[in-house]
Amino acid sequence: MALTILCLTFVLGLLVGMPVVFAIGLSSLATVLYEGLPVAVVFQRMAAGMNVFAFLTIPFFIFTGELMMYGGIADRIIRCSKALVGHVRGGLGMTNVVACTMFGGVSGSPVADVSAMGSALIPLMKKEGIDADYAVNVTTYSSLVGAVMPTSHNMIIYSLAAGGIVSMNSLIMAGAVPAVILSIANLLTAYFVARARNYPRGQFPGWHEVALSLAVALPGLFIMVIIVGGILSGVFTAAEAGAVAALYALLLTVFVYRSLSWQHFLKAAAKASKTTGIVLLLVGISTMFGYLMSIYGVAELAGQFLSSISTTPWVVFILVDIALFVFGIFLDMAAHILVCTPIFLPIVVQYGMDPVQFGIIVLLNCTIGLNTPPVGAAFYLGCAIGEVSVSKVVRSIWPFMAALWVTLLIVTLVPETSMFVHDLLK
Amino acid sequence: VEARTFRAADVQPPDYPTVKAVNFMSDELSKATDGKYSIKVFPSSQLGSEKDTIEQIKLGAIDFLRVNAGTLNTICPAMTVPVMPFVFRDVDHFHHVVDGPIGDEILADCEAHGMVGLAFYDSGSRSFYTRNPVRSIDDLKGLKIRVQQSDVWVAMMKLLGANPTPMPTGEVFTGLKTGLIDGAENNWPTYQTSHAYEVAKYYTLDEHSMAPDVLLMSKKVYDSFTPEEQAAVRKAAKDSVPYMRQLWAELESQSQDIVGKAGVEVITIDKAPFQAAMKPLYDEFLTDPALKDLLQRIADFK
Amino acid sequence: MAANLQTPTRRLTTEEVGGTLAVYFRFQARLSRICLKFAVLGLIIILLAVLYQIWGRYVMNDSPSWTEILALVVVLYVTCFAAAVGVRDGRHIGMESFLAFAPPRVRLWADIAVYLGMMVFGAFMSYGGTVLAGEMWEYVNPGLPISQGWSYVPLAVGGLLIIIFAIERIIARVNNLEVVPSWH
Ligand code: NA
Ligand code: NA
Repeated sequence: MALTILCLTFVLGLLVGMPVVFAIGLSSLATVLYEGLPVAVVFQRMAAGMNVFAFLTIPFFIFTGELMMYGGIADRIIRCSKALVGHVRGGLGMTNVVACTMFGGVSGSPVADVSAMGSALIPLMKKEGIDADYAVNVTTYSSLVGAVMPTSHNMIIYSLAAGGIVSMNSLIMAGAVPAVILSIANLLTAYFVARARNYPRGQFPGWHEVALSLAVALPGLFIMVIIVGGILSGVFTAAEAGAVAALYALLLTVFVYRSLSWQHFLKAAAKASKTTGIVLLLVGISTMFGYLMSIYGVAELAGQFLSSISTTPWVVFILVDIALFVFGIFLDMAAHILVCTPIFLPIVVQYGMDPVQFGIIVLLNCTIGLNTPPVGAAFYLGCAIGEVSVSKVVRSIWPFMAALWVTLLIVTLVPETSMFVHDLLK
Repeated sequence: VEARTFRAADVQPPDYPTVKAVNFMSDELSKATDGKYSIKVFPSSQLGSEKDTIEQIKLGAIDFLRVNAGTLNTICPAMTVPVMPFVFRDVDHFHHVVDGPIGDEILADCEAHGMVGLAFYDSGSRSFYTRNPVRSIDDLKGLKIRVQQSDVWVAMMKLLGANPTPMPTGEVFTGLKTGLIDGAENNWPTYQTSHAYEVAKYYTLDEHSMAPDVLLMSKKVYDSFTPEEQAAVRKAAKDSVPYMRQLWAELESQSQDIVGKAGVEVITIDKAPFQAAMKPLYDEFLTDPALKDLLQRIADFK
Repeated sequence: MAANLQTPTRRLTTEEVGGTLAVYFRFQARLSRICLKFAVLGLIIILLAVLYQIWGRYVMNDSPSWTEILALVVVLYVTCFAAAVGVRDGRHIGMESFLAFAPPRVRLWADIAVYLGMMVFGAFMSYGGTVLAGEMWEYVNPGLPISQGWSYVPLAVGGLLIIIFAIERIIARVNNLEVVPSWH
């Protein structure tokens, strides 16, 4: 009964055009009131969900991105990337894929990735006449690769949830091939969608322009060096790297380019605050929703149901994938891993899957979840940065989601994709 | 009578000794109340972090809770005492103290804050693990050591000459791997399950703190019980302690085995310099004479 | 009025309207700017705190333990103030209503119902924040010597602001006016 209230009020709210945050918030409230739980607890969960140090990457990277936009750094980068790949159709989209994948590999947080790369690249792509929905989907899907590439704190969460039987190093090695497959799938999708939509292709401007634009863009590109290098070398955490990047962007635009006015600074900060408010409120509300899902043991019920359907390994594996996907719709990454692993790991191990391979499958499913409403931080962040509605982005989400599903299917049915590098180095 | 299932929260996974102990307690309680009461544990931080669940039990959203004394001490001041370094001489001393009247006295301190302390569970001893060997207290000088976000732990590391770096548990492995931190400190099972031993291969056995785990119950729920039911719930909690200790001992030796096979060097060390360096901590954090007295009585306890 | 709703011409904005409404909308615009100024101030405080944390760790070789807690408390203020302004700007993410092709009168009432829903949520958020702040008031944060209750004050204030801005949206909607976002 409580679950019915939860789902019905949520769907009804969405249908009449209520923003997702309030639709989830009100349905959670209705459930809690029905159950007689203290109302304050849902707001305690909300505040706790927003209160994660790693999430500070969101305001910092968005602020950096805004400063890059207002201070002219972004213009210089777009000039450079256009000179480099502007003559390939969908070149900007493919640049985005590569940049997001590299950054995501380092940060391990798709959400941080979308906020860092998306803030810079989505407005750039829009400026070049590319539809916002394509720009958003390219960015959010490329960012997901980061979760299965080292260094990913989500691997540690999985390893903990699996009861310590899987080593971190095994997961790092197992993630390599799936990450490559997913990146290739993203590149192909970005290319074919750009072709289908007939995005313009420019002329090659000559090597002189390439060199010149690169030189001009270099100080701005150095922001990526700070972030990537800072985190990889262990000098900064992701949030700290974001703060340093913001400081660097500020110094560069104020003292070197002298292109940032006080008004622009305030506007950049105000826009960064607005986006932060919208995204973090959603993150908090998702935590509230996940709390109720845990209390009603939704995941456990599904686990029991699943093992009653089939006993053929590959059928079970695909059913588990579907179940994980469904949970990913409603749970955020950490909650997804922690809730689903103890339920489904014993089932797949019973049918002969290696826990390491299952780890990669769980992580891939989590990343799909990050990009599916109603609880999908990366997806919403992309929409917020692109200033585009959910339904519009959903219109071109399918090719990208299909690419991710194909990857998932390969990783599920071909154990070697995860275990090859792992076994090679053992 | 209507049966009632209470909610309990734990941040540890389902097979962790504290979670199993509360399941055990649920069975005992169910037997004692003819099936009227039982407890469902929500493990793996499903209901939030330790700090979050403390707030929830105060609000009445959950009924039972297992947390570490090191988190609880911001709410219940007496919990600061068992967290202090070198309070207990060894595991036996620790068991005798918390099983006796002093243990009950510390647990009772939570009642003023809406929680009934039911039992202490083992959490082992905390020691340092580092990327480079720490063979004397001097080797700690300037090392960036990860600590929990807590005044006591920060002050402790400063007294040892280290550079305390507060950081959430989830980031410790990455921090050690990249060199953001030089080391961390925790018990054997955490050292193993967090995989920190794969990157921090030196475990310096100084055993500086035995900060125990605590089992709590909502005071609102407790007060709604009849005196017989209150006695039954207290008894079921106390009965779960020996079971938990047995599981803990198994887990600890299992972790030591795994870590040992991975080639970790365990460094035994003279604890005296550590004890001496940490002495000022007692004066800094136990300003209340009642807590000082408590500390003294623990030290005198045979 | 129904005819008015269907006209495809550009709607008047809340800045262009006259009379008593002008005074009201000017007040609301000011309020949203003040909220944003608080949020911006908060953002800068967070930035400085984290930069100081790095400075402390490497330059002074003494990591400050208060910076992380401070940043996490302040980020709640930034979020709650800015999220309330997000209600005024109509920037919270949602799907397009399935009532897009319904008669104008139905759409009007659906929109009002949505804003009323936000007001209900805001009221509970304010209440929840107040209860939590009260519950945690006597306890001090580890690492930062201020009450843990301060973490929940922004929820109480933010909830009220959501109500205030949702009312503005209703008044603007009924009068067929467009709300101009501040500082966008
Ligand atoms: Na990664
Ligand atoms: Na989702």
